[in-house]
Amino acid sequence: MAAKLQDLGRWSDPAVLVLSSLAGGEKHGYAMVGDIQEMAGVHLGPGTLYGALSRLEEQGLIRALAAEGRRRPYRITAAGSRALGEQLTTIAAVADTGLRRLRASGGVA
Amino acid sequence: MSSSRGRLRGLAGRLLIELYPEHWRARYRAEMSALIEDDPPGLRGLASLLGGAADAHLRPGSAAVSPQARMRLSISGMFAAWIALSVVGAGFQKATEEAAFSSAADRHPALAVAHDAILAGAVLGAAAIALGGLPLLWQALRQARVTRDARLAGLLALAPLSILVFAGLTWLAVALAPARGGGFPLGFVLGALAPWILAGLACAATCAIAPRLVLARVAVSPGSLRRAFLAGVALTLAMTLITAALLAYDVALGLQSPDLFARAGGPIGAGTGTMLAAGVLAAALCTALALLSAARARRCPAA
Repeated sequence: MAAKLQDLGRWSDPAVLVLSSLAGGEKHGYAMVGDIQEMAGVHLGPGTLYGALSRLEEQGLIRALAAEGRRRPYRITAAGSRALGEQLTTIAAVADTGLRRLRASGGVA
Repeated sequence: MSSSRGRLRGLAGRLLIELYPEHWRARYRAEMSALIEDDPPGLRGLASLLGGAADAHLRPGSAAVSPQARMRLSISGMFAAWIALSVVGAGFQKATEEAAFSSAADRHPALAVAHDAILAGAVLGAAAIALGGLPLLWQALRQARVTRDARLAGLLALAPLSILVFAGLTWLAVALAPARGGGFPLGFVLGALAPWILAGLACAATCAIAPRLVLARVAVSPGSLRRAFLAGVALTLAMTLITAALLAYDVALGLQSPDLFARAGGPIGAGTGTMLAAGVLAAALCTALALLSAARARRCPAA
C-alpha cells in the first residue's frame, strides 16, 4: 500500500503531511495548513495542498465530507491509514539506520 | 503583512484559481477560495497555485473529464500554444527586420534556409488555423447570435479587445519613446517599456485562454472536433519546424555573422543572439505544450 503514496512522485511528501494531519482527526484546508505548519514547520501553499488532496481522494486514501459552508472537511480512510502507517514505518527505519550510522561515525552525539 | 497587501494577494490567488480547468474549479473552487480568504497566500503560495493549475491541466488521469471535454481541452491547448508562439514569431520578425539581416541571408545560405523554414512553418500554421479553427469560430458566433448568449459573446470579444488595447498601448509606447542610441534610458524601460511588455504578455495570455473558454461553451459536432484536432496536429508540426528553424537561424547567425549576433538590438540592450536564444527557449516551451496537448487528445476515442 505504501507504493500508492510513492506513486504520487513529487506529491508524495505533501501527501504524507496531509495524511499525518488527518490521522489526528478530520480537518478542512485551513486547519490542515495550520496543523502541518505546527507539526512539521512546513507551510503548504494552496496549490500544493489541493494537488495532494485531489490525488489522495482519487486513490481512495481520504474522503471528502459534507461541506460546512464553503469549507469542506476531509477524513482519512482505512486504506489511507494503512498507506500512511507503512510509509511512516519505512521513513522511521531509514531515520533509525541513518542516525545509527552517523553516531557510529561520530557525526552526531 | 498589511491588510491591503493581504487583500491584494487574496485577489491574486482567486484570479489564479481561474486558471485551473473547469472540472477542477467546479469541485474545489469554493473551498480553495475559503482557504485563500483565511490564509492569504504569499509569493510562494501564489507560485504553488500557478504550478497547481499547470499540473491540473497536464495531469492525464482525472476521471472527472469526459473524453469529449478532454478532446476540447487538447485542441484548445494546441491552439493556445500556437498563439503564444506567434508572439515569439513577432519578436523574431522585429529582431531581424533590418536590411543587414537580409544581406546576411543573401551571403549565407544556411541563414536563408532557416528563415524560409520559419516562414514555411508560419504558412502551414496559418493554413491549419484557417481550416480547423475558423469553422469553430463560425459555429461559436452563430451560437452566440441564435441563443443570445451574452457570456459567449463576451468571451468571443475578449481576444480582439485585448489586441486592440495592446495596439493602443504600443502606439503610446512608440509615441513616448525617446530617441535611441544603443539602449533606452532606465526611466523609460521601467515606466513604459516594462508595463508594455507585461501588457503584451497579458494580451497573449488572454488570446490563449479565451478560445479555450469559448470552446468549452460551444456545441461542436464530432466531425468539426476531428477536423480541429487534425488542424491542431498540423499546428504542432508547424511549431516543431519553426522551433528547429529558429534554433538553426540563431546558431547560423552566431557562426556566420558574429557581428550581427553580438550587436545590441534588444529593448534592454541585450545582444540579438541572446534575444533569439530566448525566443528559441520560449518556442520550445510552446511546442512542448502543443505536443503534450496532442498526446492527450490521442487518448480520446473521438480522435
